[in-house]
Amino acid sequence: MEQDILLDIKRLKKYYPVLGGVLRRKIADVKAVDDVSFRIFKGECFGLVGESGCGKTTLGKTIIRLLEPTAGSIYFNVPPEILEEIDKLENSKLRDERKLRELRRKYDLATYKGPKLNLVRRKMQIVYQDPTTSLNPRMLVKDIVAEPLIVQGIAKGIEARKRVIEMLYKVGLTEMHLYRYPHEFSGGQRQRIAVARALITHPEFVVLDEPTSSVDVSVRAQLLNLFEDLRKDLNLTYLFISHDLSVVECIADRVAVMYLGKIVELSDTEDLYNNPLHPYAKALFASIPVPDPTVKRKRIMLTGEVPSPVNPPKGCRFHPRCPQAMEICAQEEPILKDVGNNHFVACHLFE
Amino acid sequence: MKKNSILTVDNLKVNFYTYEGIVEALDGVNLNLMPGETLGVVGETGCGKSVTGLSIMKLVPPPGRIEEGKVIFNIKNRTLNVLELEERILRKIRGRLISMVFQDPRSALNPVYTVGDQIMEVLLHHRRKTLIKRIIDQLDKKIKEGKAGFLEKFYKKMLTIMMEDPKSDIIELTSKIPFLRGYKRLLKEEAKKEAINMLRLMRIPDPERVVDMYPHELSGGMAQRVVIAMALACNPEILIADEPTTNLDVTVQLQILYLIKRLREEFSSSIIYITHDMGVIAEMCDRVAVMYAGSIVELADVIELFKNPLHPYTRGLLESIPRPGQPFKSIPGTVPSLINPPKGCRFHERCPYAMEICNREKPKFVEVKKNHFVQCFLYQSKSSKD
Repeated sequence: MEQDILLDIKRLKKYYPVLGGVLRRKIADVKAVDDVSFRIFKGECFGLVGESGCGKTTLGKTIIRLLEPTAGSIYFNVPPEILEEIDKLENSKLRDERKLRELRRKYDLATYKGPKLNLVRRKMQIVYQDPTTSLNPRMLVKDIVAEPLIVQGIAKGIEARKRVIEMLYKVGLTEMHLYRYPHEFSGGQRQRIAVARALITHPEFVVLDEPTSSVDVSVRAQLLNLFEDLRKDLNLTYLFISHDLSVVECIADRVAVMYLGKIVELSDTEDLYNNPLHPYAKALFASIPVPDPTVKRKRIMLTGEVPSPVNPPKGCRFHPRCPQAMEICAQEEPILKDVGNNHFVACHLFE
Repeated sequence: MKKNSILTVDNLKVNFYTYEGIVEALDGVNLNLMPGETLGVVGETGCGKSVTGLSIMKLVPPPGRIEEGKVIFNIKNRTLNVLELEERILRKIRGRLISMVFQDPRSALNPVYTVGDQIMEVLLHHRRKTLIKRIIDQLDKKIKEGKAGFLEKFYKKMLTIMMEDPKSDIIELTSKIPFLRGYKRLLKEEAKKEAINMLRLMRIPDPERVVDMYPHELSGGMAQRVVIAMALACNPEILIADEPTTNLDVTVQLQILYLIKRLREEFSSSIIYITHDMGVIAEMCDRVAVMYAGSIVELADVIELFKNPLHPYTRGLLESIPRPGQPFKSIPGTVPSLINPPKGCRFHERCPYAMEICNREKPKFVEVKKNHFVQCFLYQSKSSKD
């Protein structure tokens, strides 16, 4: 199935410096996102799962340029012909560096600066995990939701107000809520305000960073339904970041599993959940508690802990904990490869 | 309720006196815990799960106050009403007979003491006598073999006195003299050994090293194991686990769940497991109590509850578990404020089956089937006919 590519992420890296010594010089790097490449198609919900500290949020923030990428390219809404051309240029032996640089300057989001970057910002938005901290407690709802419009210079005054009201209705709030402060709302409603703020500039791509982990189960479903409805109504594309695997299973079309700054497996949701290939993904999916007391599943218990991303293990990053580790795993790093049916795995077992 | 239960909570009412008004956090909670079983308490944020746990230990923080009710603790043929006991006796019970594991291990541990110090504190408080006895036995062995010098004999004497009366004058005196207070060191060393032993039981790798670490050096999963080690240090009869895995990743959660399961068998403790995750409930518990806005609305065996939920809230809760390929279902509305809770049944505003009587009267907690209790008017008539 050919789909339009909305985002093409290539060899993206984000390192945080570790400062030390008397002069506070850089002594090491925290490799939060290390050489990640994948594509997000138009209109899909792309799930990103992994344990805390594996770089999910950093990846999400880097894609929309809230963080400066250390290396790599992000192509957002670039026509497929040009993507192909860039591909060819990168892979050819005699690289035409000048042309490549020119193309990257024109299309690569990672190189954008200043007003050009600001213009793209309205097309990409983010909803954070905890609405109590992501909403300014001293601003009224009408100001919170209208802020992106004013900052971006899209609308102000009555026009902005009109759009705010329209947006509030879309997320299930009403005009009544305009003159209230965030603390007057329940957790679920606050998250709706955050969604309204993200969607007011009519973005095409929204990063949802654990949007349901701060609300209760009965409210969670309401929010998930809202996300689904909005996606259909407004033709949105989501990057849904979560550690709640069962939620991702229900909302995402494709899912990527991250471990220690790397994508280890990527596939269609159904395929991945029923047939995980990477040993880490297997263990991860087997640890979800099943809400059915009669089912007794076979568990794969992982030993040890996630290593520090400052000094990740050589070769495959999972090999010290992997039950199926081989000799090669400690030496060579596996590459994310298609094993058929658009199922990508980074593991030596499937070479 | 049943006679041989180890813990019975009867009509417990707790109010919090805040500036905004009186929060009726618990509104008549009834439950019982059988020896060796795991009772799950499930509910949303603010429904009173944690307050129930705290009340059982009489640890409700001000401005909270236990207004009414009984917490009866039935152990070794003795019956104690926890709520009537003095603080002095309670201190002996907490940690030894009932202990608690809190949600966030980082705030449950003291950051300025090492892990070992904190486990030793529990041991030295509750199991001082056993520890002293062990040292005396070791010293005895040495004395018999003729290897003991003057100091060892002196230590033995001091420890024997200490066992009977830890505050006697001679102990106060000798514990201040540098060369003579070595027996205190012996006691600490013995406690540390026991602490290392506990850490090993928790499957912590390299416990000899971990025992001297500070909490910030541990990962979340490790810290939670330390907290569990502290709670189980005295082999309590009842363990109250208040969302012990909520902040942890699924793979670590699985390790902790298995640990608790295994320890339950080894220590034969009864567990009250508080959580909001239905998956964890299904995994861990024998019986489940579903809480809503300060009262238990349903109580049944875990299999019965998942197969045949009766209360509309329980049904809603089970339906709101996401299942692939099905639309998300939710319970309309939100949890009511407990400052001014709805009259009658507290769920009636969100209930799809609400009747006229629901907003007038509070339903009774009745046994509809064997061991299946529900607090709902939909099932009241059946039991009254019986």
